Amino acid sequence: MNPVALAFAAFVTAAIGTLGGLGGAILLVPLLVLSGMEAKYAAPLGLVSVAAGSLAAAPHQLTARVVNQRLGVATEIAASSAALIGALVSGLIGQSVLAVLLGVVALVAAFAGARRKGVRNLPDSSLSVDDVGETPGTLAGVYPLGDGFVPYRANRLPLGLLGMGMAGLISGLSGVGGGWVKTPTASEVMHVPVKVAAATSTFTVGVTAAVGLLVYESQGRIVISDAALVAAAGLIGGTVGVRLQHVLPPPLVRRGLSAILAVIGVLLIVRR
Amino acid sequence: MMSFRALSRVLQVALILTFACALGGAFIPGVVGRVSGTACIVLLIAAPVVRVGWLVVDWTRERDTRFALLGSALLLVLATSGAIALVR
Repeated sequence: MNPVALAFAAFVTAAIGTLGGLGGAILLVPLLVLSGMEAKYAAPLGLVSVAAGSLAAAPHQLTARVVNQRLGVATEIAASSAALIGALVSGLIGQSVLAVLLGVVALVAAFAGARRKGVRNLPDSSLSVDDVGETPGTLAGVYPLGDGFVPYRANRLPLGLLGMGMAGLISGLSGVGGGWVKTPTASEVMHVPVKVAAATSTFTVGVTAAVGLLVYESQGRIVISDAALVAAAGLIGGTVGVRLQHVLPPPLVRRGLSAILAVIGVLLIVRR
Repeated sequence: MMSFRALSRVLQVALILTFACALGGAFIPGVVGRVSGTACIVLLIAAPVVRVGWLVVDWTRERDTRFALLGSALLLVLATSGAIALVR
């Protein structure tokens, strides 16, 4: 892929990924593989894109206080450990197997995105702006929604940790990041509001990506000039995406993203 | 609240630095470009580690021991990854 096309792909996928709370690598890595890049070189670029999107979104999401960092840290231990194992064995897996894995990953992400629900937790009129944020010592908190404030609490932690571990393993193996698994796991399994789940995933995918990048660097799989280009474009895309989050309705974005992922997934499996 | 704002400012600075290094790595040829690109990758890896470390200090100060320990365990996983990367 030529540098202009690579930068454009990284920008668009980071913007769309941050916008939908799924991470951009799930789009970028299959696109790179489809364009002819070997999966073992596309995977590190995917993680660079994920780390860039995570860093770009962080200042804005911290100020808005929608991230639950206690939940993020608690679940990230499982994800990062699994990502380390996945990244270590990823070099042993053949091109064809990795392409099919990415295809299946894209199709599952398309399904997960399409079936995700809207608002589960409702605003509590007794809460005010002073209550917004995390509750110390717990996996609970309050987040702003429109003019109201919504309390929430993470449930079913063991099942959630299992999902996060799977997300980390896939991230380390394929470089697609794990946001597309983490966000639905936090939202649908642990019953955390989608907005908080997406923001928390955006934080934790940066940590998972850091683990994978360390291992890829040790394996000499990072092409610095390409990675720098993807990082620059990903940082701009992530910044644009997190701003657009407030403008476009998330269900619309998720449906569009699901359609694109379904096409990419089918193409990857058919063309392997 | 103040700590969140300070962390947000630190990450904002990291974002700008990373972007500058990324541009250098992408467009400057030769050794300078390579060093700049490598610095960009190092910053992308370091930013979440610094963030988790910041949280551990914050939670320790708040006497939220359980989450401070969980954060420390996560830093241990990250350190293990770094050690493996160095050894290989």
